[in-house]
Amino acid sequence: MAADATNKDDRNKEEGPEVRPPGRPLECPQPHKLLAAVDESRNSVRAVDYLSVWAACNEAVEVILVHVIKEPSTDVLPDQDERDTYIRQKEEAAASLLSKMKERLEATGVPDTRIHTRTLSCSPPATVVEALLEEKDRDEYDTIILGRRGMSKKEEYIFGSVTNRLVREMADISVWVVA
Amino acid sequence: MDESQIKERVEELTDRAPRGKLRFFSDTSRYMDIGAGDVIRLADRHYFVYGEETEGRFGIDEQPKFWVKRAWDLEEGERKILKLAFFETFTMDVGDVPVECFRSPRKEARILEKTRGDPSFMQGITREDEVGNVVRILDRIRGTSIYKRIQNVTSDHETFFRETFPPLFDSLLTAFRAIRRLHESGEIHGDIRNDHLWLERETGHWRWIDFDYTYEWTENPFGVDLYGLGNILLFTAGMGFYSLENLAYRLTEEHIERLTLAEDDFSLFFAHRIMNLRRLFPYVPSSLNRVLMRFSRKVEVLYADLAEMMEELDEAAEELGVDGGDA
Repeated sequence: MAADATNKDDRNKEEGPEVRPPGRPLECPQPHKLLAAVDESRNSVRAVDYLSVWAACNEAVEVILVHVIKEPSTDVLPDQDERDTYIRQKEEAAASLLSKMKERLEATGVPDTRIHTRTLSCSPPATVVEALLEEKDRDEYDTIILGRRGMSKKEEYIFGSVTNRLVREMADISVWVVA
Repeated sequence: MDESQIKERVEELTDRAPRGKLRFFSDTSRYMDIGAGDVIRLADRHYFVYGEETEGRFGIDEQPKFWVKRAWDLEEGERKILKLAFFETFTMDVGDVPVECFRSPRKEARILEKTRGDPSFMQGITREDEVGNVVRILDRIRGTSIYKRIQNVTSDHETFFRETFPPLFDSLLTAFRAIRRLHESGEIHGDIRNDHLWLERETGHWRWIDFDYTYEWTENPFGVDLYGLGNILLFTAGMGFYSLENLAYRLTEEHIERLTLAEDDFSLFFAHRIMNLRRLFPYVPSSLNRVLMRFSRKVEVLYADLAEMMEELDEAAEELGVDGGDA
C-alpha cells in the first residue's frame, strides 16, 4: 500500500506544472498581468464587468484588453481591395469595441494607466486561439479571462469553440471563463 | 488548329462533323452562352463542348450545371470535364445549423495541385482563360458513387453487413485517410457527401470529387468535413439512413416491434435520424457503433480532429477483421 501511495505522488509530480513551495511570504500587492480577450458578445461584457471589480481593488493588476480580427481567407474574399476594405472596417470596429470595454473598466475605478488595448489578427489557417496562444507567449501574462459564447453541441462540432480550445491548450496560466 | 482542322478532328473523335461556323471562346466569363458545338480555347488547347454536367442528386430531377461543361480535349483526344469559374455564396444547412458557404475555383485548383497523383482524389489541371478565369480541366471518372453503390444493394442488411460491408469499410478507411492528409496540408474538402465519393471502374480507386466549397475559417475548420464523414459512415454501415419516417418500410413489422429507441439514439444534427445502429442491428460491432454515437445526441466529447476519429475507426477495423486501408 505504501509503495502505491509513493507511486501516485510521483505521477502527480510529473504531470503537474512546477509549483511554488508553500510558506514563502509574498510581497503585497503582487503584480498581475491579465489578458482579457473580448469580442462583441454579451458574455464578453460580463467578463469585463467581472474583472473590473477585481482589478479596481487591486492596484498591482494590469489589464490588457485584446481583440482578435479574423482576416477572411483569400478563397472567401479573393479581391485584394475588398479584403483591405474588410480588414480596415474590422480594425475600426475593434478600436471602438476596445475603447468601450476600457470605458467600462474606468467607470468602476480602474485607472487609465493600468489598462492597455491591443488588436491582433489571424489569417487562415491560423485561428483566434492560435493568435491568443502566441500573444500569451509574447508577453508574461498571469491570467486570461474571456466570456463563453454558449454554443450548442452541434454548433461546437461545426465551428469549434474558442473557450474549450483555450482551456485545453493553454498551459502555465490561469484561464477564467465567464458564462 | 484552324476551324477546318478542328472540324476534322471532331469528326475523327465523334464520327460527326460539326455543322456551320464554329464559335470560339477564350473568355469563359459568360458561361451560360457557351453550349454544345462551341469550342473553348485555353492556352494552346481546344475543347469541343458537347454538353453540360447535371446535379443528379438523390433522385431529384437533374439540374444542369451550366458552368460545368462536357468537352473533348481535341489535342489529347480525351473527354474532359471543364469547370468554369462560378462564384456563389449561400447558406447551407448542416443539419439545422446554418453555415455560410462560398464557391471558390482557386481553392479547388489548389487542391488539384496538392493531390496530383493521389488515387483518392479526382485528377485534373488548371488553366486560366484570357481574362484570368480559373478553369479546371478534370479527368472523367467512369464508375459509381457510394450513394448509388449502396442504393443498388439488394440483399438484406445482415447479409450485406457480413459479406459486402467489410471490404467496403476498408475502402472507406482509405478514403478517410486521404481526407486526413488533406487536413494535414491545411485544406478542407468542404462538401463531403455520399455522392462525392466515386468508385472508378477501371482502377478500383475510390476518389473524392468536387472541392470548391469553402467557409469562413473557424476555430474548428475541419468540423464540416467530420460531419460529412460521419454521414457517409452511417449511410454505408446502415445500408442507407433510418429515420422515424422510413422505419416502417425499411424494416419488418416484427423487427420494429422488438425495437426500443431512446432520445440519445438519434443524430445530433437530424432530429429523426437513428445513429445507434446496434439498436437496429445488434451484430454491428460496438467499436464501429461507438464512432457513430460520436455524432449522436448522446455525445459528450466531440472529435477534435479526424486523427481522433481514425484511431477509433482502426479499432472497428480490427473488430471487423479488415486491415484498415493503408493504416
